[in-house]
Amino acid sequence: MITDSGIAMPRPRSVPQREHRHLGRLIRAVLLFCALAGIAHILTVLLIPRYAVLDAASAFLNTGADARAELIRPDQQGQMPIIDADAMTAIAVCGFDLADGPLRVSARTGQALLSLSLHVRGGGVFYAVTDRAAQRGLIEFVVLNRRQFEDRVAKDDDGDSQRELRIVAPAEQGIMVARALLKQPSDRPMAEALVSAVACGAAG
Amino acid sequence: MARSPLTLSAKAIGAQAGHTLRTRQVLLITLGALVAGIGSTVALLGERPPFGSVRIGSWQTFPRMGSAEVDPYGRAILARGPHLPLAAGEGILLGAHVDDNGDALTGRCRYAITGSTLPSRGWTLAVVDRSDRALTGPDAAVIGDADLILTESGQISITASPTIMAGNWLRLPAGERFGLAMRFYDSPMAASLGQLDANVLPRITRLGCKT
Repeated sequence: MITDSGIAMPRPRSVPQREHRHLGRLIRAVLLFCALAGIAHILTVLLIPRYAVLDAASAFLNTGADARAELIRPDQQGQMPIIDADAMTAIAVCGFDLADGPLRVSARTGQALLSLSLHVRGGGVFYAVTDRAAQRGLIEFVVLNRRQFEDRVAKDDDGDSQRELRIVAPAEQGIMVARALLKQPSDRPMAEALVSAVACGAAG
Repeated sequence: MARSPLTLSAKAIGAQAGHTLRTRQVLLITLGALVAGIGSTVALLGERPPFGSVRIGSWQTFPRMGSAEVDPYGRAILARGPHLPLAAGEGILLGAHVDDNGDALTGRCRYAITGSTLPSRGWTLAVVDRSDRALTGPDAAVIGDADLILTESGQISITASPTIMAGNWLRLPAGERFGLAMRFYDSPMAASLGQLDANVLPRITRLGCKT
């Protein structure tokens, strides 16, 4: 609206019109808030594992460097460096980086229940086996990435693929965990010797 | 009618003022949304994932935590500290923070843990804190199947109490809230956790409390 003096004046709006405009703004603001909050929530949930440095695979990546699983012991306060550790188990860990080549894991069974599992960096278990699957007292498998697996298959002679168990890892870095169950606290030395004897070296 | 320069500048000022206000609003909304989004992530990522649990009586388990199919929330929880979850092929972890009446477990009370256990090659029952971390030092309390005297019907009967008890005794932290973690190693039941009846697991019954 333009007055006689030529000054532009806003056209007065009726009360319902203004309320309608405010309501529209409010709805848009709420929708924008929900969408952005949802995106921020999903992104943080997905990014935490990607940039994690406190997960078990990151924490123990450099253990077992001498091709033997390394025993995880409680710290000086008696606290295990693993949140969900069972006090009635002995645990040894071996880190791997498949960029350095495939990993061969081999373990002799003993008196205690023995299990081996593979954990990927960022959290998640992609393979596990117990001593029930041992053949002639030996559990053995090779961990590889997809490219190494295909190379190995291409080089296989007849029957080679049946002779070794090959596990394709979903990521390059991770850890192999050997766990032995104690029946009695006095079994600990035996169980610790069992898990720390697990070999985890280059598969060649 | 031709509009004067004054008319135009007044409109421009009005538009600019409106634009500034909207930009500020959008910035405030974005900031608030970021806080709410990240805050809700922190709130949801407690000690246990918000989804994917199986409840069997007082006990709760997360079958996917030990598998490659762990959901993004479970993966984020595993990434926040060194966890080594039992893989599905290794065993089953069941946790309890309430008794059979749904009341929180507390070291002010005594409990009877009685009944059946899952078939397995060995199991352990440990007292954990509210964050599911095993107690250590003098408070450490764990009992295994080899330690127990079974009832005539082959069932377990354990008394959990802060003070020493006759028979199978599991020490509790006096006066504090706690949880129980029961692990069954190499159990054939890992694949059928969703179909288990509460009767196949021990019951947790409150016997009495200190006032």
